[in-house]
Amino acid sequence: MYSKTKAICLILIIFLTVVFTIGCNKAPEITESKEKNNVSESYFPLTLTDQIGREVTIETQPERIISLSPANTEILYALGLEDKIVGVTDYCDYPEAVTTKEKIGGYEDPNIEKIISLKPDLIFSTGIYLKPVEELEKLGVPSVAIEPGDIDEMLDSIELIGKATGRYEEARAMVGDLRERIKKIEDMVADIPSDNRPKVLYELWHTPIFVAGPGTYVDDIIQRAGGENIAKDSGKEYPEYSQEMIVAKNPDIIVFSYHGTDGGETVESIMKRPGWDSINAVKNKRVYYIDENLVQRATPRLIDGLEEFVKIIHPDLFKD
Amino acid sequence: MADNFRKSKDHKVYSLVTIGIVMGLIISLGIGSVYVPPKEIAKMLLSKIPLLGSKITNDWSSTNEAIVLQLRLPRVILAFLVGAQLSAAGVIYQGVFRNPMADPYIIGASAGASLGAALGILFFPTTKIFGIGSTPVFAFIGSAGTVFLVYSLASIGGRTYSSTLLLSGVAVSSFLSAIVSFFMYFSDGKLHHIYFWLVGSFASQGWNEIYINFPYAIIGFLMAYWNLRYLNILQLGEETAFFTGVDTERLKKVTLSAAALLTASAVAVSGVIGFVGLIIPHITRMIIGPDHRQLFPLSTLIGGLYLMMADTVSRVIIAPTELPVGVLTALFGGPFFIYLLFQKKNKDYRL
Repeated sequence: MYSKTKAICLILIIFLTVVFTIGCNKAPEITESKEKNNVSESYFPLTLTDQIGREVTIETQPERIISLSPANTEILYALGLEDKIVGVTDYCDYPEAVTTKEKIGGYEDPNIEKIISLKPDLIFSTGIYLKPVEELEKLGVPSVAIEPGDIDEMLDSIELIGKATGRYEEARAMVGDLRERIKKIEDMVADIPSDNRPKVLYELWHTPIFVAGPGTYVDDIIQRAGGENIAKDSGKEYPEYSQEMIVAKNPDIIVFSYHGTDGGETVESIMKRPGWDSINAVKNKRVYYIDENLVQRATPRLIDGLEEFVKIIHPDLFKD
Repeated sequence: MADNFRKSKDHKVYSLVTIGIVMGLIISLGIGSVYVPPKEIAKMLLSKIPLLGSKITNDWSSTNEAIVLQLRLPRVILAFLVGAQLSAAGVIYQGVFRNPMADPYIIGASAGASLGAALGILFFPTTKIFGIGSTPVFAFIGSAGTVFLVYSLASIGGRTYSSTLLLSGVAVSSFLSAIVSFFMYFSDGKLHHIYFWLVGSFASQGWNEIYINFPYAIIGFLMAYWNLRYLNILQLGEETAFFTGVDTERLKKVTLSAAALLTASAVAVSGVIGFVGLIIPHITRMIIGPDHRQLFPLSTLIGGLYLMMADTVSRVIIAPTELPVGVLTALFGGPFFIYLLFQKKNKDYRL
């Protein structure tokens, strides 16, 4: 009996030693690859604050980047970092070239082993799903959380990603261009009095009806495009909204998207909904479809979405 | 004498419930996220009655008319129908299985409907069948088909034992739920659509859903209604019922088909709304006793009233946004039911 216990102890000790040795070896292994490519030595190491207020130190110029959200991926591509991206999520679908990149799973449940095997030196995560990120930080991989709440913060996120990757100048130039496009639109709609702005309904999904409420990019876009979001009173980002209320608020314009799938809704089917024929947008045939990725994903394409919205809300103003 | 007393008590209960339903209907139509004056609602409804309608002058806005007649009224009616069907099905299942745990979903009706709906949402989102989306049709087929499958699995040599039926029902349900989870896991962006169907809601249902639901409700109700006396005898045990001259196998087939029809038509238009079919039969039994000839029709009425009111609350409680009614029925129903059980603990409370 006694010798049995001893044997078990011995096996345990050996096992733990092996595990610890492997575990300790792993972290340096990842950081090793960073040593070689010190492009701008004056720039790195760099400490910055990410969008959820964490301090992150990046030791060297990142060469192997992993993106944990479709928005991050789009921004990285926009900054010309295509060659440095080594892994993206299953949901990353833009630009088209991204389909050839290595997939690391979803943003909620990425495959940590897969990520490690790709030897990343920087990770761009979201601010919500932090559990995998914390695990990776223990292994010595720094991560920057990107969590913009509106268009301005989206622009900040571009600069932040630029800073973290050594592309600050490019990022600033891009943000400058985007701000100019926003300014142009703001000037266009500035003269429209606030009580004369068309009421807009943005419908994400139809059974039951989900709309974009306050605190969403869509809400921000509608406002900047010179419209008024009828669901801004809902106190929730993406609420299930009462049909009665939609009919009562009588939107002048209805914009719908598919929420990731072709739900079979068309302009015609929305106009045929029972009880909706008293709505101005239906009466005046002002029901439009928009690609949700232009208005619900925090990327430079939000400004494309903004321009689309201006074309929809004020077709007379926007001539390009 | 005792019989007379019983009759008068029953009449009282029925009239109370009827008054409750009329009042519930008025309240449900009267309140919503948008305020429409009650007088206007009354006039709108009267204007729709033939002959009388022409005498009423239309002095309300088309917006209010759309809200009341196109959105609120069909929704209130549909909630009543679904509640009634689920409760009626609950009484049948509890009666046939002689088991207080039985509810309309016990032998796979909800799991089958969920799988059907998930398939519809994932693979045929744009298909329209008879002018309605594919989801309710698939849910109906899935629900009724599963119950049929479970029944045939449990039949051995022309006989179907209740315990085998329950067991195969539970097994098939778990298996189908696992398939639904599997689909949900790989459905990415469509996950929410399936989820919201599973929770159950009347938010975007209208007259169309009533038209497709009502015929099945009537057929199912009548099929069960004509067999309630035999269902009473069945409570003495299958053997006894058989020797008293009840064709128990036929009885089970007919009543379970009725229950399957009621449940399938309910879930097809509303999604899986839990708890109604379990607690309403129990509550009704506490009121009127275990005689199925009373229990069945009264449960139907009370179930309708309950879900109609629950849906009204779900419409207004966080207006202008909505709470899925399935969440509410469980939130209300659970604690209330436990309270009732404690009240009745020391009394003779049986099926």
